[in-house]
Amino acid sequence: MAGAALTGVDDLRTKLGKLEVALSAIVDALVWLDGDGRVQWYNAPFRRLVDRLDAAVLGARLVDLLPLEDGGKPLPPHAHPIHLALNGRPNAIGSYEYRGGGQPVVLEVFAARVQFSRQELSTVVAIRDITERRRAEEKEQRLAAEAADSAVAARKRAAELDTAYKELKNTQAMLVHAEKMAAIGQLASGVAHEVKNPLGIILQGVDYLEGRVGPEDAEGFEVLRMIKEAVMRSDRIVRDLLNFSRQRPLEPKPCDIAQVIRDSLGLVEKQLALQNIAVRQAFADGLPPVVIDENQMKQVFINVILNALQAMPKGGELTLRTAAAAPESLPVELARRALMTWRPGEAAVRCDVADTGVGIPADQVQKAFEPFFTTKPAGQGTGLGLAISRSIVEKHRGGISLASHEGRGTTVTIVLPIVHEVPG
Amino acid sequence: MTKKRILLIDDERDLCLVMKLNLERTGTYDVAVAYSGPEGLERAEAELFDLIITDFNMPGMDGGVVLRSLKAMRPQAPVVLCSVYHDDVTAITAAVQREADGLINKPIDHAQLLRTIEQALANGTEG
Ligand SMILES: Nc1ncnc2c1ncn2[C@@H]1O[C@H](COP(=O)(O)OP(=O)(O)OP(=O)(O)O)[C@@H](O)[C@H]1O
Ligand SMILES: [Mg+2]
Repeated sequence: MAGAALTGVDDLRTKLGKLEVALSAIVDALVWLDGDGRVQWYNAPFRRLVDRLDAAVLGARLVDLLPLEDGGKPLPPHAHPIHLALNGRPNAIGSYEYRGGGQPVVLEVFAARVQFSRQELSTVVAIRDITERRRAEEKEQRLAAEAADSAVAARKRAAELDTAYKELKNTQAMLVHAEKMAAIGQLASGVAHEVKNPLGIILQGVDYLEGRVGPEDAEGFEVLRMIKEAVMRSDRIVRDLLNFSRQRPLEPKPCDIAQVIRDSLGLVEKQLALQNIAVRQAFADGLPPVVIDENQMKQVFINVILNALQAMPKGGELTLRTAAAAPESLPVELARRALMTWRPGEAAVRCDVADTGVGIPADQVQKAFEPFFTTKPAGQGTGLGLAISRSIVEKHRGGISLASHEGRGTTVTIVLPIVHEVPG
Repeated sequence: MTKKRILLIDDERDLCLVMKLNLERTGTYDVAVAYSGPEGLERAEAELFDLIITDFNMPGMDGGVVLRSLKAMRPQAPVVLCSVYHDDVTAITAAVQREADGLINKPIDHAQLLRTIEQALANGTEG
């Protein structure tokens, strides 16, 4: 019997030994604690984890052996999973940092309260090193975040490229426009010269015939007058063309912009009165002088004012305004131009010429600046006023734009940078 | 009263001819024509003129050179410059403008031409 009992005990021992070996062969650290949280049994991974001699492990309190941190801060004893497990939470699980064994690691701690009998309360704690898993998770998150970031970056880059492309197209459009104007200018001046001489011969011929026809031939005289008028009209067109093509160099001087506008207005005074047009002038005080070619800028204002008058055949109101202008307060196309041509921090003066006239249909607003675009009857407009004006304003590194409501009126805005030194 | 002698220099032949007709029709002028700068200078060297009208924009020799040569040759003879460039300061330099006794715009208006000629002649006899 005793032998059998012994064999039974031996068996049990063997089994327990095997169990212990088995428990030590698994990766997780296991500890068996008594009701005070002191170590009763542990496996080899646990000892490796706490890195102490066996003597120092058995009977020691787990909270001392395994000081945990949460988010970099030491975990207070009452928050330790063991404490939680011993005090009512049957299963406590959490992950914590542990730096007792050299390299900081992340541990997942699972503590289960075990009650064998009324007296014997104990806890089994399984501890798993999840550093690698955490790292992998973090890496995954980082990659995901990076991917998200790079998607954002890619979108941003695409947007940037798009803007750059649009800007390029704009610059290109400006260059094409400038080239077109130069080509038209050349053509125009060539044609103008060729046409001038035949016109001269016709005019002289008419003068000659006037002498021959004699005043008694009223009809003959009238026909000659008509020819002469047609010649003068052609000549006006040719002169406009020459003016347009002629790239007169700027002769810039500091000027009071309000005075330049007043002078330009003075030149069309008679027409204002004839057409029953009220003029409102709102010139800002204390604007710094602009460095401009006074004569050329007068030409611009006269062109724009004449357009306004021609748009108000039944009378109306002409408003002339000046103001200091920051690039960001300008109409888009002027602001864009300003960004491209102004020096950083350069101030600007803005001039508005507003009328209460017929306005321009939306699809014609851009065309208005094209050379030879005109809606005026033959003999009244060549369609060069705004084209010339734009080329003059742009030579000043400024900009001109037009906003219009059909039937309500039109506002032309001219912006000139305030240059502190006289250019070239 | 003897007629004033005018030399007209312009490469545009028909223009020269009609202008000649118009000027001579007034009964006060006798007009000779030359169709180029060098030809004009030759005429001016060979004969005496009371006034010379020259185009500014001519192939070969331009009006500015013609004007200077004429002034060097016969400082007393007034010279009227005509051009499509008239109002363009860059084409006709200020110096040339000062040297000329008159400027007239093309296409030439007959009445204005007569006024310019009379004025240039008057200044010439004064000076
Ligand atoms: N203030 C305005 N109100 C209404 N339409 C305008 C105004 N300004 C310009 N436009 C339109 O733009 C066209 C072009 O103007 P632009 O000054 O270039 O030429 P134009 O006035 O027709 O001829 P030009 O100025 O050579 O005598 C005009 O024919 C007209 O249709
Ligand atoms: Mg116009």
